[in-house]
Amino acid sequence: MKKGNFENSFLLTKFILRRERVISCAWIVLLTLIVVGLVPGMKTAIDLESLDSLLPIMEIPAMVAMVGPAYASITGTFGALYTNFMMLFTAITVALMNIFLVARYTRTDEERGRYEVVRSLPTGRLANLSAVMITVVIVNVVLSAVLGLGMYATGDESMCFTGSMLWGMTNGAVGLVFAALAALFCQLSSSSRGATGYSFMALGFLYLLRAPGDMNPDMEILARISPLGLALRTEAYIENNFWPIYILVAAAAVITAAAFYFNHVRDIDQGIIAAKPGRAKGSFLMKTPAGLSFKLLKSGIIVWLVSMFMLGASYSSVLGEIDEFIAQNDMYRTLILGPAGIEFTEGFTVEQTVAFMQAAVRQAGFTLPELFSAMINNIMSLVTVIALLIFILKAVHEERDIRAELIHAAPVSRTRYLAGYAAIAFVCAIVLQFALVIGLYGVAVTSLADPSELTFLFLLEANMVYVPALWVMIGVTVLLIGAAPKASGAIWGYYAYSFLVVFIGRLSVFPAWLSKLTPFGYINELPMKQTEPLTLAVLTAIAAALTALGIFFYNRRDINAITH
Amino acid sequence: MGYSVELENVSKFFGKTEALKDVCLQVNEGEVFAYIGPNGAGKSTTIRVLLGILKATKGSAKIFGRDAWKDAVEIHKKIAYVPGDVNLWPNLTGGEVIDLFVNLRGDRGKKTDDALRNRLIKDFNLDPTKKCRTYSKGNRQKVALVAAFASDVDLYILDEPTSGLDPLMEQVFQACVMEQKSKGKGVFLSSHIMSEVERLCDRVGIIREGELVEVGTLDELRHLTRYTMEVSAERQITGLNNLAGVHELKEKTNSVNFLVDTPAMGTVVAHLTQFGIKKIESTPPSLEELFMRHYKKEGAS
Ligand SMILES: Nc1ncnc2c1ncn2[C@@H]1O[C@H](COP(=O)(O)OP(=O)(O)OP(=O)(O)O)[C@@H](O)[C@H]1O
Ligand SMILES: [Mg+2]
Repeated sequence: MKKGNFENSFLLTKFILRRERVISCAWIVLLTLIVVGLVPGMKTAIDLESLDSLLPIMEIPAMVAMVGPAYASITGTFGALYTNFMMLFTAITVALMNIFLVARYTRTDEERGRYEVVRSLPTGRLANLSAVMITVVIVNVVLSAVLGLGMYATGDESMCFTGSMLWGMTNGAVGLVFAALAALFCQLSSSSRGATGYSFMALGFLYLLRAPGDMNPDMEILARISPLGLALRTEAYIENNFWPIYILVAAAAVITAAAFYFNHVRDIDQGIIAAKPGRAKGSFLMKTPAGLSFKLLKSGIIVWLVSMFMLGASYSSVLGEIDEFIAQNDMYRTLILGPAGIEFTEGFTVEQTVAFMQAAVRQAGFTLPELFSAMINNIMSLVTVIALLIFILKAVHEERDIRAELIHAAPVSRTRYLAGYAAIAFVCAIVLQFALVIGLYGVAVTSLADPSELTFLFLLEANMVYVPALWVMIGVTVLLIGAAPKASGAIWGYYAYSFLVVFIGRLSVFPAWLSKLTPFGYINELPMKQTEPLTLAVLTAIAAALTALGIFFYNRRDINAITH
Repeated sequence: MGYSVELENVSKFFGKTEALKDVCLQVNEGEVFAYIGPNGAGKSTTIRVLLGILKATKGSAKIFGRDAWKDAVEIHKKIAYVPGDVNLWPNLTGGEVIDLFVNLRGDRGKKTDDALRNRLIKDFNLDPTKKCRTYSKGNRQKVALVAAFASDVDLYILDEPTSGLDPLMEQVFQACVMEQKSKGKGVFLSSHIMSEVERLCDRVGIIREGELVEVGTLDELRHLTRYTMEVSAERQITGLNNLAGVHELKEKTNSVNFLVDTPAMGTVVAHLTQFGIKKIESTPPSLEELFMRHYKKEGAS
């Protein structure tokens, strides 16, 4: 590689920084606000006595698998617990930021033809990539400093300066590694989507790779291969290890060098890995409008199915320790036992509380796992809605991108088209809830000492009872799509309202009528209270009526009304 | 024979702006009709009204005698549409999109003509295995064109279908239109490419600011304009100044050069014969000139 390859790198860096400043600043500021902003709230929520009760939770295997080894339990200060818990969340966010940043200024620019313009100027072959990597270094250094100083600025006595800066730097170093990986994939793949796809896969793989290493000391090496595992080994506020940072930076440098090499040997618009050709002919899905809609939504549906299953499974994985867990935490006690009408007096030992709790729950005719799952079912129904709204809103996005008119120019009625999307969403409501049930039950049987405390039929009924409410949410959206397409995004406002009222409503702080303005307010949580079949039938009828009304209006309006 | 397209006093408002003003138009079955006009004139709007995608604010739009809005689904079994800006699904391949359109338009049960489809893909030099995300504008247009010409329909509604095609592909496109025309199929073509219009179309409609300003065959339209004449004669040519229909007269040493209104051609030539014509050259107005006159505001009257 000649020196001329890097000609004008710094000029390009300035240019990229100009284009990038708003986006990167937004990421950094938002991330810092969330991570640092949560500190005071968390501190009040976790008063010092319950700190000791939270530490054992960090040691539950499922928890270790998700957030890493519980190094904080050695000294158990608030700062250590907090960073222990937040490390992977922030590091993954930083990794995503870096992947997007690199893809934006390499492959995306190349795809849009902007890179060609840059290359036609007197710039070196590798100047653009080196400018991107210089930008990456600048962004990550700033991010490290802002995150570190932000943590230190909270003034918590358990958060010393060295630990805070180390924690910030750990995030920045992880960012560098993933930026380098993304730069490498941008050379290997021939499209920006391919490159980000590979980078996400690498991120997911490295996240999973560290899990066995974190759980089992014999496999420690796996955790040390993963940048995310290394990040956890800095043990900020406890050991304050700096050695993982050196490894991360060195790894980033090596990967970047490889990226430079491949950038040097490949042609513009080409990748080292050739793009594989797609289907030359359409499958049976390409025969009907609903088939097309399903094809467009397919990968989203699969991702959501897996996510629902995984979420269900991870909630069930804590069931084994559920008694102590609830007994030791005030907030969970109120959230889980409150709706069942079980009250507490303070001042007992953990064992006494557990015994008392079990007796009270049994007397009320429930089991503790059932009460715990009641809360989970409720929250998860609100998660399912997100997926369903995304699916049904696809109809509007197709119209906004001027593709719906292509289908309407074919002999496909408005009714058939929109009803197809609605039908997919209606069915997904059932299927997603079912995936959740399988996830919840599958792990519950293994983690519960007495599996009969949480039966499959109970879980099925307790989750499926939400389906009519989910359908109403779909119906409202279809109505918006038909009658006020430009305002269809407003459904998210209604969703936020439902979420607040229903979820926070568990603490019975709102007047009851507020919850009657959302379909979820009519669904009773099992096992506490059955929902009348009539209520479910009425909700279903309302959902059907709203959908029909939406389709009615869709038949009467201009297509592409959203584009102008 | 009936009309393939029939517009009666069609108006379309977008809020307060009137994109179409009382448009009346009839296109005969089996006719290749060019619909031209400057940017923003209302061509795409007319086409979307015809497709039942937009609802006319006033008036009636019919295709094959059926209401474009009410009977949209029935009508669409007999037409194929190619938009000017072809937006396709980024993660479907071109081949999948072609099959989608052909399947949606075709009778269910009836076999689709794979040989025709594959021939068109080859003629248009399209790689059907690539994802639409990676296609250029021209290639996206080719996908829509292949899908249209591979469908067995009676009317093709094409909105600037060749704006992204290279000259070679333009020729392939013209051959496709000719082939359909010879089979008696109709084409409603909006275009900015005058040579294409001149080559393919039986009749032309010109729209400007939402108003249909002229309809007719190319000859009829030419009739409304002036020929350029260059004449040399044995004797000095005189008296042209006084003849009606002669404009911009320029006298040179041995010849004269002037413009003449088409209807005045006979009298002018009769007048010229008195001077013993040695050479006479008349040039019809180019289409470009013709359209320019209509596109410009002052050419309206
Ligand atoms: N959905 C809409 N809402 C508001 N105004 C619109 C809408 N669609 C078109 N218009 C306006 O109507 C007028 C006619 O637009 P149209 O797209 O029909 O023009 P066109 O003749 O196809 O032009 P071009 O040659 O550029 O394709 C334009 O002024 C345009 O801005
Ligand atoms: Mg147009």
